[in-house]
Amino acid sequence: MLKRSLWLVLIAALALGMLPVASAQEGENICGTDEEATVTFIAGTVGSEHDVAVELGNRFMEACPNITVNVVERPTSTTETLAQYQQFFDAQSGDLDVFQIDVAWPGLVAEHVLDMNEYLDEEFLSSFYPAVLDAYTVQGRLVGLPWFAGAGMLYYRTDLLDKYGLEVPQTWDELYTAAKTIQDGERETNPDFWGFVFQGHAYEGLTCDALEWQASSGGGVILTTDGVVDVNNENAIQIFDEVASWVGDIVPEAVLTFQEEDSRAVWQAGNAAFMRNWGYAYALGQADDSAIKDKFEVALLPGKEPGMSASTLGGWGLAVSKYSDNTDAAVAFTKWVTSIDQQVWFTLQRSEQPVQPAVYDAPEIAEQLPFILSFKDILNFATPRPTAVSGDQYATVSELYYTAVHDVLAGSKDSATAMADLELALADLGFELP
Amino acid sequence: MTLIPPGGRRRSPTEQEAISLELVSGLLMVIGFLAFAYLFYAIATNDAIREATQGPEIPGIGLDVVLVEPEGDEEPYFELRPIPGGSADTTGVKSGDRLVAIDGEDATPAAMTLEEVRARLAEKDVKRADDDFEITLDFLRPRADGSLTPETRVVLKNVPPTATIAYLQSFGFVVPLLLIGLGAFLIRLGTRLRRYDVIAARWALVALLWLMVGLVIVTIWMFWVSGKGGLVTKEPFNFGKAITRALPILLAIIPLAIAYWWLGRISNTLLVGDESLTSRNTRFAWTLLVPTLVVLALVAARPLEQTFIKSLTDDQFGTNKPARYVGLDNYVNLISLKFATIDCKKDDSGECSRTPNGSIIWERSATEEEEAEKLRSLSSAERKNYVRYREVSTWRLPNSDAGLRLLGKDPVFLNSVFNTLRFTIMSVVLELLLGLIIALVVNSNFKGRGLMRGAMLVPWAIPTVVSAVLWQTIMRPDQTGILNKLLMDLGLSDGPVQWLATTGPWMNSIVAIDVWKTTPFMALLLLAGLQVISGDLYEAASVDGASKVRQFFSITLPLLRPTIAVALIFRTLDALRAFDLFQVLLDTTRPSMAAYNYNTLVLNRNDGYASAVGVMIFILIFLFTVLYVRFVRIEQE
Repeated sequence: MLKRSLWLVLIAALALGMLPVASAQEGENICGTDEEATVTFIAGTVGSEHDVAVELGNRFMEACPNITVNVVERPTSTTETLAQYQQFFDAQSGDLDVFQIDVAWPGLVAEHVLDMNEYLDEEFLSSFYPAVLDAYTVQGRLVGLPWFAGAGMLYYRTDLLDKYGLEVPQTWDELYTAAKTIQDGERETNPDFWGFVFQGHAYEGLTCDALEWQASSGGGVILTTDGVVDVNNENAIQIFDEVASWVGDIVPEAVLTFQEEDSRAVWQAGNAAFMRNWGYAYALGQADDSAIKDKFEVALLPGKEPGMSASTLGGWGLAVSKYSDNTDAAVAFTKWVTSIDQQVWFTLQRSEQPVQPAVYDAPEIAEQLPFILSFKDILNFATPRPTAVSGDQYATVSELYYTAVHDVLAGSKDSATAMADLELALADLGFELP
Repeated sequence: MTLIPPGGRRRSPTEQEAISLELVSGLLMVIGFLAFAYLFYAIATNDAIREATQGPEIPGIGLDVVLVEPEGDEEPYFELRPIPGGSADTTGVKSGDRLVAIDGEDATPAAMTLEEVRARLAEKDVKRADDDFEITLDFLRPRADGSLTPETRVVLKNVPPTATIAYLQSFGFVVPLLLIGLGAFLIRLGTRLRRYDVIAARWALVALLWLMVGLVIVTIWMFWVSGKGGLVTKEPFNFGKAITRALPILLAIIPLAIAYWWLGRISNTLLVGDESLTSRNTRFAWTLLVPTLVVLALVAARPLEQTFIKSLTDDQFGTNKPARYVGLDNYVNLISLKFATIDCKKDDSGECSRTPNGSIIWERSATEEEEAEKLRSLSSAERKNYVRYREVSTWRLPNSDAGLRLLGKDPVFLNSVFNTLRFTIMSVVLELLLGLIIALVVNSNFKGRGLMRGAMLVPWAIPTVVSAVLWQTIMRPDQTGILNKLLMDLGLSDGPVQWLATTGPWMNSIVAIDVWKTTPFMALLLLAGLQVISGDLYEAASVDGASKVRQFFSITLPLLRPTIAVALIFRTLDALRAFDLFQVLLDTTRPSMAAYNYNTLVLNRNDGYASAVGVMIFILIFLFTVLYVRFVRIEQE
């Protein structure tokens, strides 16, 4: 009798003891660890990026009270951000755990970050667009989880197009004519008005813009996938000369120092008819304090001929440092951030292009950001920067390219000379001449 | 045989004293030999040097291969077995992976024998001269469900550096020379002491004193490091380990202390001799200088030397690829330049064609054409190692359609040197003139002078990066910039000025900001000089009827000269090192020397090349300093 009750007590105690263990194991799935841990996340400065990252950190800390998330700001310039990361990597520093990495960088950072394939199951990874996942894969190693994608888009003012009876431009020539018409008309009341703004500062952003001009004119894609230099041809030369001739005409001279946020400042103040930018400017333009709320839409960028549009594949991912002391918590955080629920919330905040088909299907998105749905397929045909073929030389390739294009825009060189020089400079790096 | 130092007398030593002296001199010699021995021991047991001469611990890519012949119909395959900690292991090759191809070449049992596969993966195939440090492996990875997924890994070959580089990186020149010098000095002291040389005894006291201090420092260091189990660890402090490692070193101090005490006692009785005042002063100076020199050697000479050693290699930043020795190539590429005459491209009307903003479009020079031809004839790997002459700057020759073009192997560096020199000359001259005026004003007596002096220092007190960002906002290229807004509202400018753009007056803008920021510093230095000049001189000059202007040129300026010289040296060296303004306000196409150094290191990841740039900057600044110092001395004479 005693024996039997003892057994019962034992079993009951065991069962009770199991309970917290079981729930702890469930908790482990989200938080990665039961111990106190700190995850330092370096992310965002463009637009509301930093605030949203901090909010994500707070939400994660609510879900996992044992983990502290510190959000550190990165430099605004993409080029500067990379420079800062390189220093952390070279020092093999464990101070930063999760890095926001540009889709162009996997080849540059692969050596220093974890292979996500080894930490996440295929079921989770299958929620992403394969094309985007490929962009973050270097020699079989998944160096980062896609966070959001970006594709260059044309922002246009619906009210002004109506006012001057114009259609959404489909070619660069149409864009010029429309911008010129609107600018001439608006200048009478607003002397600060410009037809078109983009990113012309000598930095990574110009590489994205220039690649779009070039590719949408049939002028090549900097480097082909076989590593052949693809810049010195008539179409490329012609479009760069054309864009250079716009500077000071429909494009402010100041564009030579513009990064994303500078062009958005002009645009959102209502001082431009067209803008080339990423998706994030949509949500900000629709904010209550925006001068152009409900007065603009987005469309595909123009091309040389209608239908030749090209968009540079942009966007950012999350990589976990190999030198991190809290790998489990850091991986869990990246997994949580890229889960569908959080991605829907994030997309509503930032209006960036989602990287998971499931996010497009969320009803809130269709309701609040209908424009995103029309770009659903863009990730499948966006033009990637030549990162795969240039590997860890990408930063140098991009620097040579944006410097050459910047020289043309600034008028210090003509396009033909600049492209001929660029071709040789890329050949210096070991790439093949056509 | 003269055992007595010049002018000295000594009594005969007792037998005991003679033995003690032998012991002390022996101790010094032993320590001297120990210094040599330690150096040779360290070199002989250094891991990097051993790897360089005998091959690394884990050979090649750290991958063993075995042939597996499964039972049944299944084809035989090569199974990969990575050695833990080896290159293959860290790249993610796993035990059990089935080899498919090496560098794209079929490597299944049907195509290759086991020996051939092993030979392909072996270390001996890798030459340091090869550009190719990588092996691409294609393999199949068995999954839990029995399926096989294809995978690819690029594995870095573990190529040790050459022995020379390994030695230089681990030891360099400074520390071995210090050790050899110390050893030789102590041995010589020991031999001289045996001859009852009083000067040697006194030098020995100095040496023993600093050896003891050094040992105490080493003891504390060892106590800390062995207790923590390394320099940066998170382990708890282990007292037992700390004491067992530190105590022997502390014990070594005891014989030194006894020798010091005994030598100090007898040096005045047994070794009575005269020492000249100069020699005594020299010794005293050295006594005080030793710690400074040691610290300087370790914190200044050693890092500088490391930079120089690195500049002889093609080391990369932020990667584990091994560095190769390239000799002085980096320096040759930095300073190679050539001049060429060129013609402009003619348009249909026979005029020089121009870009929309009026820049002339030039033809390529003959040298550039030759270089382009040469590039076409080279293979991909050869091109990576070949550096062409490219355009640095072009000037139109007066009254002709021809131009003069400066060509260099590193146009951005050469431009950065010109930019920095231009910036230095413009900013220092302006700052000197304005600073002098401000100093003269602030030096005169007026109410609120103290407040004025305080307020004028504000721009200088703001960190340069912060003021750069401040000015970036002020100088925004459109109407949102307050400077443009102001100029346009006042009707002084038609459209917004592109203060910082490549097309705008960027150099003047940068100089203006620097002048705004640093003039107060200049004024402060000059003010200090002005206040030393006695008021009596001006009174006397006034009595003699000298005008204010005359007083300035005959009294103020000559007496201020030394201060001006010091201020100029300060400012010039500072301006040559300019970094913040260029880095924050301009892009990577218009760097200063320091900003270019940063870009090559961090952006282009050329550690070796960046080190060469650093050394070049050092040499340039050093030349400037030497010139200045000579120039100033002549003036003062």
